[in-house]
Amino acid sequence: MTDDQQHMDEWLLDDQLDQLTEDQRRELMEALRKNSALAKRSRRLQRLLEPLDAFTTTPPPTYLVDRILDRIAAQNEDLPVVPGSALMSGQGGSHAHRSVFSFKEMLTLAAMLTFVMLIVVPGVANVRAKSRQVACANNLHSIGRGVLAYAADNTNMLPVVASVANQGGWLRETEGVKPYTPNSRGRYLLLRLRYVDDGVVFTCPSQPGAEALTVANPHAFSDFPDPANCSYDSQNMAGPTARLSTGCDMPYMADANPLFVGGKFNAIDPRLSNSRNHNGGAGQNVLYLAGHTQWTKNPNCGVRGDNIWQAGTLRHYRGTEKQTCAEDAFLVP
Amino acid sequence: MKTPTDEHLLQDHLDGRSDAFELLVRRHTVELHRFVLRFTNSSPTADDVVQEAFLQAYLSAGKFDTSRRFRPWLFTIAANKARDWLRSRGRRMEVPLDAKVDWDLDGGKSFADLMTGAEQEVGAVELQAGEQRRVVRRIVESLPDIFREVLVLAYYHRFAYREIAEVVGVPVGTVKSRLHAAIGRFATAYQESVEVDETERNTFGL
Repeated sequence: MTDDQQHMDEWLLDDQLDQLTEDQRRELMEALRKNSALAKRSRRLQRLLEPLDAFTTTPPPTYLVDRILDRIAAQNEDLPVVPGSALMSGQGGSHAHRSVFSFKEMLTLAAMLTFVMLIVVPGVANVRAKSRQVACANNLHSIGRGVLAYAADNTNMLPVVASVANQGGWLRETEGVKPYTPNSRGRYLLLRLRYVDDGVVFTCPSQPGAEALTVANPHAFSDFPDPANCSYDSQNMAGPTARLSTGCDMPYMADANPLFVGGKFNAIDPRLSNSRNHNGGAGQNVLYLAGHTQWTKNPNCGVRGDNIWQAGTLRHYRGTEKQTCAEDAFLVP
Repeated sequence: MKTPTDEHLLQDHLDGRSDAFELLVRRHTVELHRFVLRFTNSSPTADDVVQEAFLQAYLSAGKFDTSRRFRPWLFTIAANKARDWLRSRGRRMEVPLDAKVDWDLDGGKSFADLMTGAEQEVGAVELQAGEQRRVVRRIVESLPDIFREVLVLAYYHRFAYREIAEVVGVPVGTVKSRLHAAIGRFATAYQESVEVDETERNTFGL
């Protein structure tokens, strides 16, 4: 290849990447008009680069700007003044010469400690619980983005594995129902096909024992290797609504269904029960097919007050039950 | 009314205008998020890195030379944080950061070879949209970090070579050689994927 040709080839790429000055671009256009071989290479380069346009990205979450501004605002606030450790130990600093507290000081200290124990500690615990609840909602939001992207690529189908939609039972520890076809395989597809980037978003930070899946190659599995890798239950893929519904805003995924614990049916009243993920039953985050998440203290949050844990109004389960209609949310492990 | 430049807004911020930095955040969040997401291929990481980058830009604004451009500076901060994350994840940096790239040793066809083949060979078989998106994403993700970084900055964000050099911290010549290598690798891998897909279609009579 001559130096001129190499030079022109580089200009072809520069042109594709908007790197040329106006003068350079005019010179290149002139050369393309005169040189058919160069024009051919130009078209070839264009076709080489075109597939890159297919690598689209999901937009950032809507709360991201607010979160950035909140963090910046927090930087501007003064840090709270914490009572000095020298006072607590009775040594050091300006208090070094004093060996004992006066009675008045002891009373003040006791009052402060009581205040801390009664007001601040529970408050901090609540803040931490709230923080985990928000992190859990963010997880579901990330998964929701993956679900929508999957549906966009797959003619509105929700992530489903054929064997799940056909036969068998979705409850691990039920006698007489075979084969075991876990519903979680559908959720795992999102990770396997990289619609969701990180296994950690499938674990709720509030769920005791949850353990994020951190494998380099999710393709090596067809399901979460350990039930602890997924804190959330999703629409039963054996049922009739395996498509992204455009008509109604269905619950699609939520914190784990309390009716099914450890792979077994747990005979409790579904009308009154929240997921155990958050403080043993404080409520649950629910992801809806429109892409939003909602914290609710009531499981009757489906279409027209539908209970998201139940198939219709069924109270006992073996792992073969399905939704009773297309608007019946039935979130199972 | 003329839209203020990034550099004017940063100067306004330094002069005490309270909403100037907020305007910069609103102006650049989406683009910066796209860059980090393509570079790290992780949405939660992109969310975190973008927050950290703006926070650091806010804290370091006083040191910024407003005669320079704000956007490459912001991307430099984000790129450094994204690289830290990639390193912490144990991803292999296949070539040292300051290495020159030998096109013939980069694992794909050289840029010149790609330019001189038959025109109809490239992308002759079209993939379906969803499949193409997955394939392209997988290939870009599999590029070494140093190649992916320049490819994303140059192709998706249209940074000038000298700005990319600033963001990455290497000479302009190295940016160009990495970019050529990235495109060479991408085109080779994409062509192979298309051929595999075509073979599978033929095998299954699709």
